[in-house]
Amino acid sequence: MTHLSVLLAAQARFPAPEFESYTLPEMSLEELASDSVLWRVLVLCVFLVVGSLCFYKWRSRKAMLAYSLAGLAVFGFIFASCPCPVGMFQNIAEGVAAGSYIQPGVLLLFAIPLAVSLFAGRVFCGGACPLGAIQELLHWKSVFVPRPLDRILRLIPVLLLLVFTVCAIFGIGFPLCYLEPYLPVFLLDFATPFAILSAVFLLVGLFISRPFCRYVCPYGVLLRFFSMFSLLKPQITSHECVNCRLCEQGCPNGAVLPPENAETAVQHRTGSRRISLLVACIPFALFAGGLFGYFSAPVLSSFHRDVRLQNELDAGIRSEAVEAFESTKTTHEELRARVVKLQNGVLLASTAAGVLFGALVMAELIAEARRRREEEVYSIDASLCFCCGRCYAACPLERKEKHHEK
Amino acid sequence: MKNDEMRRTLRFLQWTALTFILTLGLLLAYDMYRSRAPIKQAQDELADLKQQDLADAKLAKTVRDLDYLYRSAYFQTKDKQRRGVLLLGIAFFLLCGLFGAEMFWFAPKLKVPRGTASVPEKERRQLLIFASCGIVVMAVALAVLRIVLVPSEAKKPAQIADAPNTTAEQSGKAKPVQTETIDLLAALEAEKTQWPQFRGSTLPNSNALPASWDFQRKWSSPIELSGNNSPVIWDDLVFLSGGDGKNHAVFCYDANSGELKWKTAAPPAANMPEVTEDTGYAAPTMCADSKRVYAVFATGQVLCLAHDGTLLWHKQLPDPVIMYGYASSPLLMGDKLVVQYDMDEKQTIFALNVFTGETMWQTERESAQSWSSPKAVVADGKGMVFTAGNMCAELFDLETGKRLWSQDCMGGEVAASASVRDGKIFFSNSGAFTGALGVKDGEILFRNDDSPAPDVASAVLFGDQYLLFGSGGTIIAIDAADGHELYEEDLDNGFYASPVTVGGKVVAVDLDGVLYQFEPEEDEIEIRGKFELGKKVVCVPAFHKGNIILRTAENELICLEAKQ
Repeated sequence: MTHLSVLLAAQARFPAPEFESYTLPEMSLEELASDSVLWRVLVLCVFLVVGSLCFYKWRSRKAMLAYSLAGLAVFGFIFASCPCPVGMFQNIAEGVAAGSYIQPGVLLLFAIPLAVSLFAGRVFCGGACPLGAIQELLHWKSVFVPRPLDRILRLIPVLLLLVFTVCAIFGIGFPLCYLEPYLPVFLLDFATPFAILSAVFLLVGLFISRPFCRYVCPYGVLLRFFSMFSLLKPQITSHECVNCRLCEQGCPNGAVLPPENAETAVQHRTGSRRISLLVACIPFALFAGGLFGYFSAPVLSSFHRDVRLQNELDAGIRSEAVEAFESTKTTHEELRARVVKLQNGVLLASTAAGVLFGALVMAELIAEARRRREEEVYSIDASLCFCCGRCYAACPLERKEKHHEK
Repeated sequence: MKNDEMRRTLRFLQWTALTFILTLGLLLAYDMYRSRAPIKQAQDELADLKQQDLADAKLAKTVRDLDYLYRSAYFQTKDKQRRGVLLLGIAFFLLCGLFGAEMFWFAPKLKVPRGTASVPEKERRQLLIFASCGIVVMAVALAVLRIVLVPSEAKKPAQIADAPNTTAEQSGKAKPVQTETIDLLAALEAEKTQWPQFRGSTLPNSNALPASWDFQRKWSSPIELSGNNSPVIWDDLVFLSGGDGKNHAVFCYDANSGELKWKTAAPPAANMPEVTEDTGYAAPTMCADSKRVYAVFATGQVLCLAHDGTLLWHKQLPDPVIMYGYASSPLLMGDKLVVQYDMDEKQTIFALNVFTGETMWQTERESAQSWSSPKAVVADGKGMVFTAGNMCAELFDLETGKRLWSQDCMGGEVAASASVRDGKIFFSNSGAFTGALGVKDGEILFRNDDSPAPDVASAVLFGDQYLLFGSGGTIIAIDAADGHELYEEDLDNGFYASPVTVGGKVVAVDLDGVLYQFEPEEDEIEIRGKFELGKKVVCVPAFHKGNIILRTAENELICLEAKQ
């Protein structure tokens, strides 16, 4: 596929021979497009089942590494970054917004990982996602992001999800594609500036575990939400935790939660006050979020081709878009009416998205402000766990059991 | 020891793969950069050769050989790069595998951390601090993005209201728009002494007729652009418009000297519709009030200018696709400029704010294309707009655009406009309808299906008679009370220019430029004056201080004054 696409692109760049005897070869793009998506769905299902077994039944870090490597080969290089957590989300969002036909295969690729996360958490992120796989494998030395900062940065994908949903609904374009840093690697097309972004993320990924999954991936937000209700919860060890804290050291993703000691009276008072304060702040947060969305609307609208065209017309710029527009039968009034309608729509949607974001931020802050259950064991936050199995490998009790099994 | 060797081997392989990737990547990047220039040079060279005489067999062979050579070189380069990139991908996958293998066989060495475990209380405080910082960062980022991406005019986030289409600020000739209220009745009253729109004023015109019907040219001026619109006059300024397939403009002449005072070009049109020669690009007659003039072109552009020629606003109406070309004249009623916009596909009546060009209301009409002009109706101090089109005659409320009634009595190609008096609307157009409708409810008071009706010129009311001026040269008078034909008069030539009533007489000009003064009698029409201009005229004459100002079909503006 890559070979053909390179050839097609190359032929398009060089004009066809002008001799009468030359006949243009037939380009059968349909053949490329008909590459069976359902076949990929089947392979994905197999991967997710195998991944779930590796993580929950065999509880093996090594198996998860093999799973990642296989995922990278199959979904990354053979299927050319499919399923792509960025493209999938964007395709579905735009298809739903436009009311256009969505291929069942594409829909299944989008829905199956979410459905599986209701049973087995984020097994998809563990290795079936090519982006997750490449980050999992190309990680060298872990630099830990402080937990509070990590929690705040994890709100970025939520914001991106909301922003790009608004963009998809109003046909503002595909800005999300610019944030798919590993695509050049999988497509073997190192055109700048994407190649630079790839290099940056790969470099960062050597030290900070899964920077894309944690701080960018919008599909990960959905998986995180669904995996909160997962039937199977990852457990560091089936034995009695000795509180060695190795698992906490072993997890660079901040998914391992330390136990909390019994609270003192002072802590109880402080905690109660903090939660009360946060609850009282909810209306302000909603208002601030709405305000943020409201003032973001012109920025979002400015990416829409009609708004860009209108701005160029207003500024008297003679761009190609302006010339193309003038060659159509669309009048200035129709264009302006379209722009005003779009801006009003974006304004409402963006404000609503801002309110929702404010609500989600407050939910996150309140959730973090609450005390964890007083269990003297290290536990895993299923919504944050990427099912990499590092904690299994770190846990001395698990290692001991594996040794005995051998 | 064995493990250490294996780990060293893996590390060595990782470094090798990494070095290979970096080296190959750099070489490929350099190769891609280097191959650009020769390809461009080859393409330019070929293009130059192809411009020469390729009938020369030797040159043609050279071109063919070079084309093959360059083409082969191009695809060989591409093939080489493709292979290089493929190799890069394999190396990359191997590197991933090597990293994975190290993790597979050598779990990271973890040490039991020193010190106490992380303190959740402290982390919670930090979380709130980071959250506050995040809010600040987001606010700053948003501010920067707005500065960089959003043009200053569009920074107001709320644009719920329908913005004025194109204001003077965008035309480069900015002039602050002032809004004020205009009393409709006072405005109509003020029109009576002027000649402000199609067929003069809405209320009976008080201009005087020339002292005699024997004329001499007071002045004449050429008009730069052709047009079938009639001149309109406010005080001593004559306004008219012109246009061709490229340029459109409004012209202002001194009514006393004929001097061209100014010319203002319309902004470039978004669409240039097809029009017939008979219609042209500037058929709609302009409107004028004491401060502004308004022009509509076949391109769907509406222009408002000050009396000094400054463009105050410009509005583009929807796609102007209509057979023959757009020809309806706008109607000025107080603070509203009414435009009957009956296109092939969609028929709409617009009321535009005269100060801003903003659409105050627009009402879609269930009709077909027509070329008729709207007519002002005033009853009980209330303004209304009468429109005639294929299928229906309709009356709209001036303030709201609400359809007051609709009478399904029309048909054919409707081009004429109506006359209004005493609660009756008179209308006559060939193939459509000849008769009268009640202002109150649109009831057909009478109709005359027997007398031939005009197809271009609008009929005129005079006393008890409704006079139909046909394009064949026939003048028919019908009784304004019941519609029966009173008499018929045949003249030498037909009428395209609509007749008007001034100074108690009917004035009309035929296609040959013969200017008539009629006085209808009970059973015949008396010709009180006849003056041969000797030039074709299709436009309505305008009256100014006892003089007549005419636009000829030869792009000339002529002022006739009575001989002493």
